[in-house]
Amino acid sequence: MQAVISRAGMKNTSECGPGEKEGVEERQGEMTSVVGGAPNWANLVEQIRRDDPAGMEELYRVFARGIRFYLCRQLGPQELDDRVHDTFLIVVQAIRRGDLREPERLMGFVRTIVRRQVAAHIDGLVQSRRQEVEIDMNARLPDRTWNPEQSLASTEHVHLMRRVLSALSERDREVLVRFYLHEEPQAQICRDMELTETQFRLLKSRAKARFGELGKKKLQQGALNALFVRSYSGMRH
Amino acid sequence: MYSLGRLAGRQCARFEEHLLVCADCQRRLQEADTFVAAMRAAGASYARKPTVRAVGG
Repeated sequence: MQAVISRAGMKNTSECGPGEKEGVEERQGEMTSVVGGAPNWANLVEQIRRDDPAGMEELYRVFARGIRFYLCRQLGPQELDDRVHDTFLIVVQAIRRGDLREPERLMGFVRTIVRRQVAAHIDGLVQSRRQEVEIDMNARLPDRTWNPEQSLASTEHVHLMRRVLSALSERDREVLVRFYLHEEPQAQICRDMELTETQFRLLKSRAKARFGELGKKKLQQGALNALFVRSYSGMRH
Repeated sequence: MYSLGRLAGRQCARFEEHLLVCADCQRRLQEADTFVAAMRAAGASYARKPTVRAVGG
């Protein structure tokens, strides 16, 4: 299947401007710095088409970290190096075949290929899982549950986070729970809590910061407690 | 919004394209993912409750 990108009128998003500090999920329109500065996409694509090593180096410099980040976020760290390498090969081969018709759309082109890699991997997992079941319906499937140590760590983590959330003011907690857990629209939360959009952003931002601070403190306390317990038990034996 | 999976269509595409080349946004997304995961871990038992309105405001 050819990856032909011909979406016209898309802005080159590598130009970045100032914006609010709260977090990436709030920054849809804002674009910050491209790794090491944005290259000239047309020159870069031309270099790759000519098999110029400088073009390959530049492509890697600009996209390696992002591709790695995206693949790791979607698929986890297993075989990450191989996946990144495969993705680069596919991108380069597709460019050389002439699949990228508009060089300025290189970022979108790479994104499409990375997404296909993710989709193909997930399809592969689903297929192999299906085959496992079909081969022997009565066969014992691999145990994919957590071991007791992992379960304990997870339970402790959940308890810790609940304590952090409980320690927030009711209003802070409400805004976080409604937005992040119940996924209520901002407009509805503003209406119910009698907040303007600015007040909502400010309240949410402060609540997030408070949640983070308390979480760190609780984690440090937990580490200290664990250290104390270890030291104490060491003294007794 | 992206971290919550609530960014769709063209906005999502534009953001993901940018994410591929922006180390700052990768870092911020990682922070947002961590926060959302912590919130979800903490909030499993939180049912919808009556709204807390601003005092005197």
